[in-house]
Amino acid sequence: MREVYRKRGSVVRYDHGTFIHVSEAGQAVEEDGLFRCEPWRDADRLPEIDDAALREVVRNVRSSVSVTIERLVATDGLADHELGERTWRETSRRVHLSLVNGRHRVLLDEGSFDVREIERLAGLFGRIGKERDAPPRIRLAPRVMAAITPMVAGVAPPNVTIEQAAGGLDGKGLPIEHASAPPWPNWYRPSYRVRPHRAPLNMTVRCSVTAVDASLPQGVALLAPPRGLEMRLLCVDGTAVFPATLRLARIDAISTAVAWFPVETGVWAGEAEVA
Amino acid sequence: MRFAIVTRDELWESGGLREERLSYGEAIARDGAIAATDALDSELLRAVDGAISLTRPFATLRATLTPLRRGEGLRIVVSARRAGDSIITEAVVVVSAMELSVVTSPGHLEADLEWIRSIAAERPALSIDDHRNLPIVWRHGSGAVLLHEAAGHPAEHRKERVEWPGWLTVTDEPPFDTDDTGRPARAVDLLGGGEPSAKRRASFRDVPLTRLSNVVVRQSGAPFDLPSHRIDVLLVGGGAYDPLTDAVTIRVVASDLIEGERSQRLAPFTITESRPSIARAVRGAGGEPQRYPGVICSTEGQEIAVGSHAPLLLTRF
Repeated sequence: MREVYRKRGSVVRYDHGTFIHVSEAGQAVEEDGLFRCEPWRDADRLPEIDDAALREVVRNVRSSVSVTIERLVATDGLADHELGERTWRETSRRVHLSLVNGRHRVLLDEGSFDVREIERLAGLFGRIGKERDAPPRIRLAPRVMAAITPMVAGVAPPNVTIEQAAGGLDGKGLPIEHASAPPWPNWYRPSYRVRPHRAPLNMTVRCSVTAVDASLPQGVALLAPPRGLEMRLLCVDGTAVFPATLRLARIDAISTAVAWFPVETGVWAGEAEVA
Repeated sequence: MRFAIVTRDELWESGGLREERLSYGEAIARDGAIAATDALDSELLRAVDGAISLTRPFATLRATLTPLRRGEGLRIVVSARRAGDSIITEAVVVVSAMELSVVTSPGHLEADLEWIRSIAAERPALSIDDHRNLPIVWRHGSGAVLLHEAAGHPAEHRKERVEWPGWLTVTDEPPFDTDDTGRPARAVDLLGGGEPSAKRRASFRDVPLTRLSNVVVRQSGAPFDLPSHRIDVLLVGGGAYDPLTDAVTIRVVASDLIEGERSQRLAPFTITESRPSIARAVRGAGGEPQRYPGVICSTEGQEIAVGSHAPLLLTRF
């Protein structure tokens, strides 16, 4: 079977202090187990992305963050896809921010140009105090849950399920269906240069209990990539802001997913109550 | 300044060719911004195709691909890049056998494939609890990876100097005259406070960054007394440097525990040490720099090949 996929894209990215506009088109052919790809020479080009929104978000982040910005990468993109008779358009906005305060680093990823949460978290990070033990029971903010969702996938306790949430289109332009176990029905294709493969998209962790105790301290962001179920957290308890290491042993509740995060193939996450 | 690049890469497995990619484009820097498109530089494409089809190493390479065994793979990446008036052609082959891999060049492919096969054939017999209990001898130039992380990346980040043995030098020696921004590239002393001279980029879509090109470790008059009870490092699977914590992490994927005449293969282990700790741990070295097969270095999502050369190196943490 021969499958021909084509993509035209236009992206503007802020990266290491430089604005870079990228316009390209490519095609990928899969036939008898062989994957080939190359630029699509005769393609009509998509219009260059107006970088005004990107410039504004960069300006907003830089002006509102008082701690050191170690890395700020933001992108605004548009892509048209073709697979046989199927065509679809995709837009994407991403912000990746690494902030440093003393010996601490916080990593923040957003799937939109709404940076109000970044500003709030940067403010908290600027007040980080001394190390404390992780609270015995703690809430994990949706962005923390998003980051650990791929780790939870292999070790979920019986009261927790990992699912693919329905919505949007996959790497072959097919509707992303609800699914709860492999074989995953949808395809992941981050670029025309990557062979598509089946993977869970829109991953989400659900729990039989959805009521989260709002009085508990909260882990609001990660201070390092999680190592299995061990994580370095930026915690907030009343007015105190502190770093702590949590070894996740139990998930007691997870609220309805409230936000999508650009983690791996995409994650919908809610707030969790854990011990 | 115009930068252009053409890259072909092929993935071969025991069943034959699995993936084939052609990529090209140009990036034009103007007024602090970059405009990048997939415009074709035909001269570069001819250079890449010439390198693949005409050079003897690749003819040999393609002829030897069929005998790949189950669990083995080769990724061949040939690129030609233009920055200013300069054209640079590069060929890299990533050889994998079972769960091990090395980065090599067409000229060294057959020897390195046999080498990695011989390493993969011996399964680990035991694990070590703590690498600090024993001296470590870094063989086959693998000490270059340790110093890539402990001296090279800190130099990229302009970290403050630490005290290394006086007999040790670590330099970045770009194998090209012009970097990816069209500026001259030159050798730099990485222990002396120098920052790598070359800005490099993985593709036309990427922002040029100050990067290592070719790490060469040398010794002059170093002490070296081979301990009879030691760890011999054969192959390093990866490494990292964190500029925030000044910590270096090295993943040793093939090593032997040597006890006199007895040698036992060790399970993979990880070394995590501060940069000053590594500088203090370097106790001796012997001989001329040996070519380590190489490193694919990933920084900010940009993967580039970096050459690696080091003499026999002795550390004791």
